[in-house]
Amino acid sequence: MNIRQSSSTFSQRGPERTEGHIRGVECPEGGLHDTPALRWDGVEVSYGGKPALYDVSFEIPTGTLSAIVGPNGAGKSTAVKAALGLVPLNRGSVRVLGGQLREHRSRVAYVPQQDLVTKDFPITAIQVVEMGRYPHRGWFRRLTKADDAAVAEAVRRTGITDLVNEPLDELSGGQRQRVFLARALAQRADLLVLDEPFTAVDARTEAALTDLLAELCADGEHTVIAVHHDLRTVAERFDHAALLSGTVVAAGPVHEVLTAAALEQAYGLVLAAREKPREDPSTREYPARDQSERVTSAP
Amino acid sequence: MATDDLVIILTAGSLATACGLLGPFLVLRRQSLTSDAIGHAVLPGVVGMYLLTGSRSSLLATLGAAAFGLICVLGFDALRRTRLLGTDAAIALTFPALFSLGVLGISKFASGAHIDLDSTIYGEITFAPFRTMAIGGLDVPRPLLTTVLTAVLTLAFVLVLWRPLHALTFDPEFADVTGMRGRLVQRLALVASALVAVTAFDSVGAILVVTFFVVPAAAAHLVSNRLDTMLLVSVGIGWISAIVGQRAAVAYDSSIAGMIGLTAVCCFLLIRLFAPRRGVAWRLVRGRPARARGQPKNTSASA
Amino acid sequence: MNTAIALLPLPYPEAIVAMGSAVLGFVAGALAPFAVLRGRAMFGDAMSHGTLPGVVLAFLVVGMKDQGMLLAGAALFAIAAAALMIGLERAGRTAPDAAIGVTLSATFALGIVLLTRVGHSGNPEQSGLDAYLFGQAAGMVARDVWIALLLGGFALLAVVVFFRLLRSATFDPQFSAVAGVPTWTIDAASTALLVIAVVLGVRTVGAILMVALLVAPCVAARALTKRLATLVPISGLIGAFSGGAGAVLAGRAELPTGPVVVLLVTGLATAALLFAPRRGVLSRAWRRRTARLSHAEAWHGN
Repeated sequence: MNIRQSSSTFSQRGPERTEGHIRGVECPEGGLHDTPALRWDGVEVSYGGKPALYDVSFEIPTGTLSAIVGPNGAGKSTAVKAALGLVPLNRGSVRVLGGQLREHRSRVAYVPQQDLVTKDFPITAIQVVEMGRYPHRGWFRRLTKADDAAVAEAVRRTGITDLVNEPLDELSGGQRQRVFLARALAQRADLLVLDEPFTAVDARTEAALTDLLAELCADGEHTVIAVHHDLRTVAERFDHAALLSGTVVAAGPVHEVLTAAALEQAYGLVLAAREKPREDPSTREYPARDQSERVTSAP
Repeated sequence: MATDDLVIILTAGSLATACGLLGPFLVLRRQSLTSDAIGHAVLPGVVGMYLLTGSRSSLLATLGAAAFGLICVLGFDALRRTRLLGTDAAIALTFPALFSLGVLGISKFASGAHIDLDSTIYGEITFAPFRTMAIGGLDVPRPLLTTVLTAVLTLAFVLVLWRPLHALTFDPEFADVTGMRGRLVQRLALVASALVAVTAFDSVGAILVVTFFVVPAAAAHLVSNRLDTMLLVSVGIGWISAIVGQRAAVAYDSSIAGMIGLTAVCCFLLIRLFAPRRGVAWRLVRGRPARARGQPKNTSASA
Repeated sequence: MNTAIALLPLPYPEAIVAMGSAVLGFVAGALAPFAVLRGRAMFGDAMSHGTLPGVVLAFLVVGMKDQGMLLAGAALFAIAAAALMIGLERAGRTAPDAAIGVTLSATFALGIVLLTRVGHSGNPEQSGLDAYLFGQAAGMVARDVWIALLLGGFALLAVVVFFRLLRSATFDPQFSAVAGVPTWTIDAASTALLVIAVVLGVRTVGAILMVALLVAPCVAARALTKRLATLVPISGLIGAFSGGAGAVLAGRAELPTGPVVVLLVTGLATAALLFAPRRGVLSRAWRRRTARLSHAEAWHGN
């Protein structure tokens, strides 16, 4: 994959996505959705004294399919974790759906990186999806018919009907990711945040899941934010992007963000060093999770 | 079977119930060895309270033990946070020191009728039937009462916190984002484990505490596809170990705690070998399951 | 060795004990980092508990406390424990920590059962066998020190010869796998070093507390230096000092050796963690204080 090429594939985007995109561009303020889904204000985060993100200010408009991109160690995952209260902020603030996260928890669905989910956990696919209803039912209340309906619909939309009774650890990477997406859908949240959703996923599943996410945003009410490493997919399918490299290099409609100049600034030497291995299919999937983003990392 | 034997089996079984309910959470969160550390670390609490009050089986001794269990957990958490050493090194640095304090306390001041080094290794379950207290005119063995109470409280704990425990053990970030109070529940679970470990220490000694928490849970992990099944199987294996172990100890005139531990390990090995789908023998005959995950990994390198 | 003992300002038996425990402490402290830095600290714990049934079985077979046989039994079972742990991890669905817990349970439960068996046998030699749990430096004679010097020296020589390989394996297992060294040989080598450290060190500290003699010197040395080439000897020296001084102290106060040595070495490790010049907690806290706001303030302030 070549970065320059990917920014030029921008024009190949399908008509329905262009619509979504136009809406995002033409009415960025005013109208129904003047409050952004997520907004970072001067956010600074550090791990063990070392800064991971500094002076991060940008927003994700409501109703967009948005991506957070950047080189390894750029702080992509850190940015969403900071927004969701999973890592403490040194400085700055975050507004979620126009307010504090704790006011809107059940309206935010989160799909974490796969390696943060307990491996070998004895659980069936349907139990994972049902977990998406916990935020609505609290610690004790039984799941209702409405919950069952939400679960059934999520299962149907993600195409995992045949897998519901399978143990999770016997599913493939793509199937697992469908299950986690179903959990997020079952939650019926307004904001979906996905951290590296497509790392262990085959191209066909990735395309199908991206379709589903785009479909979800098409109503203008739902917002999807994915930390993503594949710039070509982002250019082709996403409305909105933020390019990070320690801080925000660019943020806005995808064609304004993925420009050669911005990418060069963000990837810098990384690009030059990777020019050749990039052709090798085995490196197509970036080893995107870098050490500084891991909670377990040690100096 | 004499009444005394029955009392021992019921005591061990209740203990296995409490440990079998909490063990799976430790095993799944890769915190198995926390139970080992707590089992050792409670000793200075028991000894200290004995030196202060002159009695061992009082509520105070339990409190002292629990306090040191907590000190141990907080201690290695603080060490881990320095980022100078990994979790396992932090555990390995904390509990031997606390256990040493206890051993020194015993050998210098407390060696006497009520507390000795043997009981820290073998536990006191053999004497469970004789340590009685009167309740409503009935002589009830005090250890039996304590372990049954512990088992009931643990069951209540797991039932009440089932959803947060389930979600946070499976996917801690999801639990945090959805406001399940993940960190709080995690701490509560550690405290509960520490309290159960105190009870276990009294019955089976410092070293076999980890056996009760980990071995049945690890065995159950091999045959369960749901968390609730895993807990049930884990408790079941605990009871089998209690019954078979006690009978074997009587038959061979051996340590009850040791025999219960050996039985649990035998259960584990049998399941490891012959479990459907995941057993070693099964795989030799049928081939590996679709996505067996078994690649050994280096745990986070310390330092 | 005799001149070294003559130089110590102690009566001969005490000098032997001090010398022997110092040698054992050095060997354990210098060999353990290759395992501890790879996240295998508790691996060593299960191996040291695993020596118990080996020692008791050796005693049952021979019928007397022959030091060589006990050592062989301990080594055999330490290796068996390591093999069981690695086997369980590889069989899948059992995480390293659970594998350690199961192995520890298996070996120690077996050890207790065998120990009670010996206790009922009425063999008068058996008294003192359970001192093996908490260390028994006091009874050391010159021959024990020679065994320790020989075995330990052999292992340390191996460390010096293969140092570069061990270093790359310790800090970057992937790299050495790429560089054409099969991972299993590295695993085997670091396990073998750990076996020697455990089997020798158990004499001073005892099976239950042995893990402290493996981990604490390494942690202390790690706080003082980043370079493995300096870390290994520092760790050895800390182990040697704790072993020697602890054993003599315990002998004079008539206390079990293990706990005294463990408290000493843990104290040293804690002091190093707190006060180490660059990486210590205090010096880092000082630097951070001057550098930035605390996390908590900023988080609650928004």
